[in-house]
Amino acid sequence: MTAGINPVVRDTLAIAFGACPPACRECVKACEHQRSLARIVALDLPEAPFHGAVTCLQCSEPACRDACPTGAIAQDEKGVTRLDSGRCVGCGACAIACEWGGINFDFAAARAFKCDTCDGRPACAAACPTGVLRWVESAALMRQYREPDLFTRGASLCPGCVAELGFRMAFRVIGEDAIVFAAPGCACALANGFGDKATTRLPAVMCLMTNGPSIMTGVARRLRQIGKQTRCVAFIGDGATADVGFQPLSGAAERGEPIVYICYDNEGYMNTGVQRSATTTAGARTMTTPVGPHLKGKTQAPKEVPLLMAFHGAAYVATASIAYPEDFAAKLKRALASNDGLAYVHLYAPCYVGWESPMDSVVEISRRAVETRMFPLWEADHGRFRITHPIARPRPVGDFTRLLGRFRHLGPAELDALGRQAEDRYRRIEALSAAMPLAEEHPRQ
Amino acid sequence: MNPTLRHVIVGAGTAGIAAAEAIRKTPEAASITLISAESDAPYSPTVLPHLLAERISQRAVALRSAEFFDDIRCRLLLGRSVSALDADRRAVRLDDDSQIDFDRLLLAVGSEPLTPALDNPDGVRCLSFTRMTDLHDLRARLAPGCRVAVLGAGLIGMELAEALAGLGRGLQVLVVEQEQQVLPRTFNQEIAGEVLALFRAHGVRFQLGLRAVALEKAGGAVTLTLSDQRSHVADLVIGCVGVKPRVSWLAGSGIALGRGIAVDARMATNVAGVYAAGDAAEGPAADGSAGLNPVLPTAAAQGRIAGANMAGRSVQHDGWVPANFFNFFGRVAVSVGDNSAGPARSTVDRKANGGRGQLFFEGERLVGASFLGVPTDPGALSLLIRRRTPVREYAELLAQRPLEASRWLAARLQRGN
Repeated sequence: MTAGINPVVRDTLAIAFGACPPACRECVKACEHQRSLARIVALDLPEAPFHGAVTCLQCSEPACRDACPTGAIAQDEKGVTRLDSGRCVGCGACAIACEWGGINFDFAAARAFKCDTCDGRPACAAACPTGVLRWVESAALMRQYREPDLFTRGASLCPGCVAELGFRMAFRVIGEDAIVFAAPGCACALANGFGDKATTRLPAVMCLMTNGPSIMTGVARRLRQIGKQTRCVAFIGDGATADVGFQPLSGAAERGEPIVYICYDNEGYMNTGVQRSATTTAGARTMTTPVGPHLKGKTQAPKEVPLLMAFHGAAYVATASIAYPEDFAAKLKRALASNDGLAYVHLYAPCYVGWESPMDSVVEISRRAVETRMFPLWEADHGRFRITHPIARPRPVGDFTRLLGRFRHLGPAELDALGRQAEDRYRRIEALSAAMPLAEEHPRQ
Repeated sequence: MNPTLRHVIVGAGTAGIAAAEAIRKTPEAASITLISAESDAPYSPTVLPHLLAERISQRAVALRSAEFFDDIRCRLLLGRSVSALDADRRAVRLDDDSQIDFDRLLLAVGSEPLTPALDNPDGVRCLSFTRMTDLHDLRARLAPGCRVAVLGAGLIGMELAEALAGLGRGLQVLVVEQEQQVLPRTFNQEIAGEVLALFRAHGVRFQLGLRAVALEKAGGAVTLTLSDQRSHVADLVIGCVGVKPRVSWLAGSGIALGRGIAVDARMATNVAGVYAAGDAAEGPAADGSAGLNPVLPTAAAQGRIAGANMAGRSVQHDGWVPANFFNFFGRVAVSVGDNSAGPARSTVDRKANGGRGQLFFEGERLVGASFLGVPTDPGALSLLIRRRTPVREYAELLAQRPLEASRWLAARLQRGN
């Protein structure tokens, strides 16, 4: 074993923070049953109020391991940090070093102990009745990150941009047998190059905001004619998708063109100075929906483009979030597998510049949008629906808006209204999934 | 990164090994040489009381396996002490007068025991307890019924006394401490008083508020005279009055020395390319001061930071917080941060779940905490103290349910809530 030297590639026990029902201890009971001493701790604090669970996060550079004076803690080849109780002297150095609540102490035996993920079959996740704990098989996706990136370094997008992260990740999943289509917007910098320098190894087409799906139609049809499997994949922003270029997209969906269209939705025209678009959330401050004596941000509810696409009877439609990369990757694969019509993937892409938040906040914003039901994760196959990440106990919408300066002006009444909109959005998908269920999950690849 | 850079680490303890690993994580990093003055496989002195108490065998205390050093391509020189540093010629000199050239140097030289200031006309052997050889010496002399005097009730003295008391064999243990309480600077009087009672219940005797002033031979035994002029008879005397950085050999080398080796948040000394970490490093604390904090988690963190910077990354230590964890006779005692009461401070002191907890606040911010006999999370508490988190409103919850409450507040902080 080359301890900690190789990049860690492993599956993950994901815990939705603070989303547990009160007094639920099913994970603790399951862990006790399996391992005699519970390695997961229920943080059941009605006084706070807070109800959550915490266990080892399996750090890639575990501080507990570095602090252990007997070498009792080691990282195995799967990236799991294990504690050999036979070598533990109970000194507690690991418990001081770990700031994440990953180390527990057995008072009776005077030994530390910790989670080792039950060798990839954690009993806690299996026993969780609410989906708060999930075992996420992220290793396969992580391994793809060892393959060469199809785009060059040093693109001119902002550091920490979801559009760039999503663009690079999408094509790692899609692979090299693809043509990328872009339109004016932030992310087109990855496709169309800088000056005389190419930025991608893929063939790339720079469209107008108004004609992406039309150009793709022609290219895709010609590729079919000559018997090629090469896929035409768009990575285009919400302005070109929902506003300026919606007509050709609608037409391509209705005609059933075999193209894959990924919309990265940063809810506005960000590279031109943050103007509102049809997908901007109600209440958000933008340059064209300012906050002042007469206006308090955007007054209209956002256009729900993914639903509109599903009602075209598109072959495949999904919403995706960079905070749930395995879900995003699985949906891309299903989009690629659907050859009998248009596949549309709507990627939630917070823009920290336009949304007024710190540079390192976009993944957390993406996660909160899902956890508060602001952005439900679902998919639809030929008009049949399924929620892919149910949120049984949504967090208050304030947990989401508080991350973003563009909502700072919202009072309690406006927050309530935003919360109701989120509820309606989630319930609509829930109702569609109940009425028109997508019978079984696609086989995971 | 220049692929020919030579990294030399003096000291194969927790800090030195953490640094070696951090250097090797940078793909292009070149040679690493780790020099240890001791001939045993690298170990941490933390294990000494546990070895003495026979909680673990000698075979199970190596910090890393022998293969580990091969795996990270680290040349390990055991039993070789470094006697001088020539900062201008970029070389360290070993005890056999050979030299090792370096491009980046880490001084992870650790600490050495302070010698008790005693009148000792007969040259009575006063043992120390910071190295493996000290343990071997002690074991060889520890006959059944032995009367052992431990000088100092600090971290080392108390862990040693606990291990001795647990051995049985008719050992009689006396601890002498010049302060009025055990574990001064770690716990305040109340919790220290409970710890003291626990030790006394296990047969350990204490003389507090007194210094040892003289040692004399008395037949096969020793007469130990304290500052109240009373005498105590002992067979063995072990000095545990503290440790100091092992830096005297660096005088005149050009390395800036205070109480230890002065370093910045990158663990860099005043000499370019020379770093220090661990017990010998006088580095930034979380409260903005600088000082020594000779405990394992700090050594590991500083070593990791130093190694990363040596290998060309640029990272900073966010400052140490004092933190200690003890297991005395099956009762866990935890101390984090500054546990002194002061005029600008408020204290919450609660007895809960058969134990005791104390929290110290400055305004809304937690600055110190200690718990005895109650499950808690010292890492989570350290984080709350380091980040100066306003958690005064949750004082009762932290005192009554410290494990869950500290983990919740730490997790909330980490997730930016």
